[in-house]
Amino acid sequence: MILMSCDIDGTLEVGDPPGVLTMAIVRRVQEQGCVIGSCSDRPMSAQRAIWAQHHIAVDFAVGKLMLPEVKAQFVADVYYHSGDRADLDRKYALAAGFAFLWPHEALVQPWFR
Amino acid sequence: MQFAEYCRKDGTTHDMMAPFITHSRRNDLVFPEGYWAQHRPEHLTTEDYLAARWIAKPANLFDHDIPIMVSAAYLFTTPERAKDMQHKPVYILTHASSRATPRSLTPTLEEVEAETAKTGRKLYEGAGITAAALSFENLYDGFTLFHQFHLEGLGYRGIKCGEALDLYQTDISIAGPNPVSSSGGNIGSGRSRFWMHTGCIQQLQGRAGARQVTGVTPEIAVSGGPMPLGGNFTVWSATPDEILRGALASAEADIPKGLAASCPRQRRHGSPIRRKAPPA
Repeated sequence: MILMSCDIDGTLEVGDPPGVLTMAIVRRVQEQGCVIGSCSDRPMSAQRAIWAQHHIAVDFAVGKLMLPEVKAQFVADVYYHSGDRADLDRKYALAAGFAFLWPHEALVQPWFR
Repeated sequence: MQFAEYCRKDGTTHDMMAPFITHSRRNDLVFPEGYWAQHRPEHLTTEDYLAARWIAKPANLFDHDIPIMVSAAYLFTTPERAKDMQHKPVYILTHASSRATPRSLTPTLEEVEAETAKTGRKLYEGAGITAAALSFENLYDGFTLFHQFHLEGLGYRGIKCGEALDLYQTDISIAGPNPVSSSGGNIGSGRSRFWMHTGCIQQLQGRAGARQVTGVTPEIAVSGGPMPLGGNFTVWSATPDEILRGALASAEADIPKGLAASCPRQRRHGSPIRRKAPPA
């Protein structure tokens, strides 16, 4: 089981600025059985609204510092977080015990295509 | 730092800021020129605010405004010249500045409270009014944790030091009796440091649209900031001051003078804060 957490701004295509990860890709990842969600500085209610707008029922939508809570809530073999910031995404992902992927690295993962 | 001390002294908490934050965003979303209204029309809930990460505790992500690119222009002239213009003019009753220097790098809570009280006194003396005359306020909030210091310095709605967070728990919406930051301010609309002035002007002109205050009659307002120690403040009126002073002279005879002349710490609940009347 893979858990995939995505930052929004600079990471997803719907972000500001837009990132390289499209919502179609995220949807395919979920269809493969991965646990997916967002971890962003966007308000949680705004994150949920974005996912709802794209008809994707995510497993979590949380604030930037809440990756430890995500890890505690879901059992997975591997935990990934993808984001565009070293100081916010990479730092907090590694601190929470997640593997970190830059968005362009996430794109080439076999389970992400 | 001052806010942490403020909460410690008064037994209040950062969570009590939530109504102020959510109302500010709500007010911005009906401010067509504001950043969030134009670019990210998303509400901010209490849950969002309380879950946000700390930037510098006790200030979290949503206690800081977002940098934006924006400009505004205001036309100042005499009342005589303004009376025939397309839009209803508003009148400046007074303006005042704070230029205090703290003893150290960061002002202490005591220095902040002394200076905001001094600014309040200057504004009331200059405008010839008391706190009771203020219909609403739009004071600086780009660091949200400054806003309550400005409110308490003014004695807005009769509050004293340590009571602003209690005021936030009342109806501070544009439809309520205690409108707070009706413009949405910098935290609601993005960092311009002038929404507060625009908000006051439009309200007094009756041009605030969906943001128009309805819980009070917009007659006199105050805007300004940014810092408790270091800012510029303006008292605005819908009426020229010579008319206003005549009207206030009799109306204020029974109102205690100098509400902001001192700021004793005696946190209390109730009396001077206007709460909504219970339904009949």
